[in-house]
Amino acid sequence: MFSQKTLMIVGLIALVAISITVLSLPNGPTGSAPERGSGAMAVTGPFQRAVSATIRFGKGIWRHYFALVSASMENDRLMEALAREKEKNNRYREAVLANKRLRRLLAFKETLAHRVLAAEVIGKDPSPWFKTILIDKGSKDGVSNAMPVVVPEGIVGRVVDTAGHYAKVLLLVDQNSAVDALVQRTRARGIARGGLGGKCLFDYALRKDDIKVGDVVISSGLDRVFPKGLRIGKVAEIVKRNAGIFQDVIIAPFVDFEKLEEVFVILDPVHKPTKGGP
Amino acid sequence: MTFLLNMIIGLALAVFQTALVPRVPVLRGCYDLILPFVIYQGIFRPFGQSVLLTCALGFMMGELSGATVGLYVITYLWVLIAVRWGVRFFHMGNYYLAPLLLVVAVLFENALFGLRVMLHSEAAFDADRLGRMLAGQVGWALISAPLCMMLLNALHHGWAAWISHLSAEKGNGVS
Repeated sequence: MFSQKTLMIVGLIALVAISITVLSLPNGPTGSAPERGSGAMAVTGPFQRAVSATIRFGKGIWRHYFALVSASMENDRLMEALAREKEKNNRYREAVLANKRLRRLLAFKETLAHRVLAAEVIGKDPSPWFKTILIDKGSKDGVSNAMPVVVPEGIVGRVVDTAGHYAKVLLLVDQNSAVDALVQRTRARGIARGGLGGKCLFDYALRKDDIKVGDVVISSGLDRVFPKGLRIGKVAEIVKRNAGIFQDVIIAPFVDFEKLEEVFVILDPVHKPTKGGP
Repeated sequence: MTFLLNMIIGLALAVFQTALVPRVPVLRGCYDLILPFVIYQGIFRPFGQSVLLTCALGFMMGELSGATVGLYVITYLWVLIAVRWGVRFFHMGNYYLAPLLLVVAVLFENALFGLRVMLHSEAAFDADRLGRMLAGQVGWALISAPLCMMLLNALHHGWAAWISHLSAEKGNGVS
């Protein structure tokens, strides 16, 4: 009926007319574009929101991932720094404690009228049945057998073996150890011997001797090994049996043998009482 | 060469036991760490070499301890002989009996040391303290025996492999 050319021309004119109409239409009373319904928006809206949310989520993950990686790296760095600081702090604390201990040792050294040699404890007896320690000073440092070993708290023991720069010290609480001792208050004499369970026995204390729990026991100096007046321990228990001329006295040593770290070896123990001693 | 390795292990154990164990409170109740080594020698190593090593270890431990000279040597030798006897008659050359052997060895050592102390001291035993000490040592022995054996075996195998590798290299170099 109509040729294709005619249809094209009509269509073109219609399009121009529509364009002119659209362009010439006035705005609404508020100046906004006229409302064109919300159907499309209602349909596409949820999808758009979902897509947007997904993109946001993806972006968030991406961004946070990198943030987390850097946070994790920073965390690692900080943890390392913290560990280093803790270690440093621990070293300082150890140094402070060592300083305190050494000051006490030094103060104690001043009270002794003997030549002493400071030594560090480097090992302990491998068996719980025997009580010895190893120190880092030996025959090459002037240490020899039978020299007394002390700390500010009291007698530690005596040297029983030496080798080069090392020595073995038999502790006061070993059952082979013996110190000629006396009760400070009453001068009652006896032999302080190592017992079991970290205590000492005060052997040969006469029954008639006045000894009370809490009395301080010191070295008498008569064994010519330990100088007179060194503290041994205090009386922890007394048993007076019905028969016999002696009483059983148990001494709790002043020295904590589990915590020994530095000790003094008395190099010239004989014939010199301690400065502040009795 | 294996003897050298054994001496190094023994020395390391002795140092560990005397210098480190007393400073770690949780390890203080531990048994004599040379004992599993002696048991290992008894089960897996030639007798002649084991006797020599056991004597050397016993002497070394005696030097580090306040124990009477020879006490460690005889203790270790008795443990070694008992283990050899057990291996021979019960065919128990494996890890399964290691905890039992170690517990027996620990108790034997303590009995022997206790006897020595009792014979030379008038002090009374503190049963409570003694019981706690033995219980601690036995507990440690039960827990650590298989581990010790496996560790020692791994060390020996590693050492043997290394030595054979060195020998092979040397052989190649010569030829």
